[in-house]
Amino acid sequence: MALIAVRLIDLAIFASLGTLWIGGAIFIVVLYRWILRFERERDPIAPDAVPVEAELAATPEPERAEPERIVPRVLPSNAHGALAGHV
Amino acid sequence: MIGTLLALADEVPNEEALAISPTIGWLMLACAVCVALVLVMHAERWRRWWLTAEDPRGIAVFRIVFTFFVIANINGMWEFFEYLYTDEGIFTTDVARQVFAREQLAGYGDGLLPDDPEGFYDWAAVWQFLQGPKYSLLFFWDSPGFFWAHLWAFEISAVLFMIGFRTRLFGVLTWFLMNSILVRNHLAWEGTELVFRCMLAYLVLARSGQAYSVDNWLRCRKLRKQGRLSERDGPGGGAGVAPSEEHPQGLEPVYRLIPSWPRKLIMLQLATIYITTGTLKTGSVWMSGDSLYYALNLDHFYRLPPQFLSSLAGTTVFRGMTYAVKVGQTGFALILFGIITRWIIAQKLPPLSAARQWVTRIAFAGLVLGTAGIVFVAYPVHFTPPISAEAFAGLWIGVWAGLWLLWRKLTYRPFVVHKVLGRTLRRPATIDRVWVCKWILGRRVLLVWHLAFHAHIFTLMNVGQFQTGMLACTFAFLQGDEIATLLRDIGHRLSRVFPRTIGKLVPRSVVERAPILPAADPGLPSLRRDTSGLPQWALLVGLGGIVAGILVQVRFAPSWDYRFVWMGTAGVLAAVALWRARATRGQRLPVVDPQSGVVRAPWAYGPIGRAIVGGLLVWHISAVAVWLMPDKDCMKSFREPGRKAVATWLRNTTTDQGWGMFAPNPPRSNVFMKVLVTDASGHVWDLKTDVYAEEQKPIPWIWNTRLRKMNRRIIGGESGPTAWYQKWYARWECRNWAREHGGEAPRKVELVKVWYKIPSPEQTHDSGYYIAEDLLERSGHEKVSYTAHCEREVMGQLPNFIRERDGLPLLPEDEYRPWHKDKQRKWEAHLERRRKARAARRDEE
Repeated sequence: MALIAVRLIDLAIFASLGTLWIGGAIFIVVLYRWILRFERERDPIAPDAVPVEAELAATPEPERAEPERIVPRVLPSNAHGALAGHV
Repeated sequence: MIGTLLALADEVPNEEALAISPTIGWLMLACAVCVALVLVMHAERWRRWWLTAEDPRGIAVFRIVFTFFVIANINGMWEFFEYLYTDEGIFTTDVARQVFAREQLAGYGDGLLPDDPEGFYDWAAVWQFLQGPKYSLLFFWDSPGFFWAHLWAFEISAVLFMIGFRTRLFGVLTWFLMNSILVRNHLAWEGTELVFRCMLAYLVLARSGQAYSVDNWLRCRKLRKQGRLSERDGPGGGAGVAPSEEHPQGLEPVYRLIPSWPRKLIMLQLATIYITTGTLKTGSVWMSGDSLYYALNLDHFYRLPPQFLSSLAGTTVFRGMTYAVKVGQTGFALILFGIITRWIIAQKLPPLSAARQWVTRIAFAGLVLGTAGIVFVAYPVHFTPPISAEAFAGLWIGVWAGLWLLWRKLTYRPFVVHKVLGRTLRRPATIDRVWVCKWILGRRVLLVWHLAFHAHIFTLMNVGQFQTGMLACTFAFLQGDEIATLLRDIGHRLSRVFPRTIGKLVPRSVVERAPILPAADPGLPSLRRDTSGLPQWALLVGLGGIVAGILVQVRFAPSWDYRFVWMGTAGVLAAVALWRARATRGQRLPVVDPQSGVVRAPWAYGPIGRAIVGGLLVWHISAVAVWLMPDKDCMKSFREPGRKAVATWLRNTTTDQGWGMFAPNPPRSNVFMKVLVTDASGHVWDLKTDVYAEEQKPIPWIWNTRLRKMNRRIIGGESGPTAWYQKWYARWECRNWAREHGGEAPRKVELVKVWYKIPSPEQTHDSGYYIAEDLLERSGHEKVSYTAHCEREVMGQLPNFIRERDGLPLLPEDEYRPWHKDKQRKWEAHLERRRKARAARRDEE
């Protein structure tokens, strides 16, 4: 009954919230991929344990296709411990 | 009637709570001493955390983003600039001085009477002004012309600060000019202003111009010409080179190291905002999970009508989101625990001696017992869970004992997980302290909560630049190399997507995703690595001095300022610092710690600089903690004296603060202000100043306006004593009407409070959603809150200086009714009282 009076503008908030949640979920996936990759490059000796399936799924395809574009990141050994202490 | 009685009941002090407040005070002091003892035992970690140097790129990005929003925040008031900040606005110059800086400008004459000249009466009056805290040029010059010049000075200064040109100079100027505008009038202030004032003060203290700035670009260009810059492909790889035969002066790094404490203070401040606002949200609406529902249904805030969504989600999803806010805000400060713990582990500092470990344990146990004692003593005078005080206090102690055991387990015998949800991990995951600090208390969890929280508010509600200011603080949690890597990766990705545009604009190293430039080599000989430091006994003496000052005041209440004890203690510590600096002159710490093999970050300052900055940091953090003690009757006896001790410092540094947003409960009514003007012919005009009128309620609401906040403050939709604004606003409406109607004043101005109650979530759920305009029409209330009869109202007439500016007919002299404050007589009486008080003190001595 109440739905009869609903205006288009009353529904607009669903689109806003939906966009935020979908965009937010994508952002979190991209962010976490970046964080894990950053940590692997900063400290390649002790990678985090992740499920096998998840790790395979998370491996970005473009980097596999063009490995020569990636220059390994090398922090100066004297700076690493002092200036890059906490992630 | 019932509402009035309840309001009066709220103001009745809780006698039982007042009676226990001294006991609570002593227990809190004991807890503070325990915290201080733990920190003294860990003094080496404390000073390395706060007083070392770091990569400048983190704070540099914060500077750029935050300053952009500083400008946006001030410009957000553009439509009210002349109304708020000039002599043609709501407060003329003399009134602004009187209502916003009465004590500070008590010795400044308004020139309204022949025997009350304009200007400072004497040097004592100048000194009184210089003591602050409201340093605004607009208290002296505030014609529209001057204001616009002042505003442009701020805008230019802030833009130069943002791009990093003469960064220190323009940072200080931006801070001064922004506050010069803001303190002229508090009517439009929101929590936003507090965020920008606090964070800008910290930012100005950071050497943020040493990266991503015009200053650093000019410096590098100059050094490059002189052949003294260490570059990516040359010696040092950009991190600098020590003097050698090849480079007698050495090579300078691209990014010099800067003191890290301002960035860490910003982190601490953000955590403080959250924990304060989270713990103050103790009202029944928060506890029942309905706060988001009510906040979202405030007509002054929503961007899009939320009522339909509220009717569907108000009793379910919104409640979950409310608890996510409450828990997230209260728990956000744990991010600092995670960050600092990981930093301590990475530093591999040698363990404390057995004695110090025991002192730490005893102090921490004392803290837990002290807090349990506070709960136990305060239990009878508060709303509490339905269990006894003994059970609650026991539970509290039990929780801490459990956490201690868990921490030991994580430290010495961490959990090892082989399977998750039935899936075998390729490598077993070790759940130890580092893991907990990353995946539960880490930035990746709590900063994501912070982003999500503000993104939701930003999407659903329009509260100006509060969100942007808070979101900008996210960058303060990132270190220089993280920011640089992030920017490189974004640039790299964009250059691949847009190779012909962005690919050609960004540096080649970014396109190729080359390693980021390192910050300065911590081993450069020019960096500070002295061995000086305050011995632990001196720190204990310092702690004793602070406690002694408090005891002297409470026990003896001497006629002299008890803070002299604190100053004396600071003097002793300064002398010890000087002695240690001399005794250790020439000694240098090794770059790599021989025991741990970890590279030590260099000091940010020399020994004396560290003593000064370290002391100020302790003072400032303590001051903010004291300032933010909640306003409860059970704290009455010590809260006000404590705040008085630190007020001057916090106010003058623009870091005085309060974070009770939507606390203890959010409003549950929509309140508007209607302004009715009766003109000279008796016709009544509704000025349609609030969102009860369609023209004031654009949907979707994109651009913020401070009008709504000001209306709430004037008409009584905000907490605190704000009704005094009403007369000044009504008088301004009298003047403004005359100004816009050929100088003819209206008969009267009425301020009407309009409000309606927001239906409860259950009502909306059961009966269906409502349309705000219809509900206001059906169930709204109106009440005249103030009536100004313009002819006889003080300052209700358009003064001649504005009439002259506008070319309007002048008023006869006797028709204007100024506000005579009789300042000169009062100032002389004040000086006399002060003289007598001094004489009486001398006699006592």
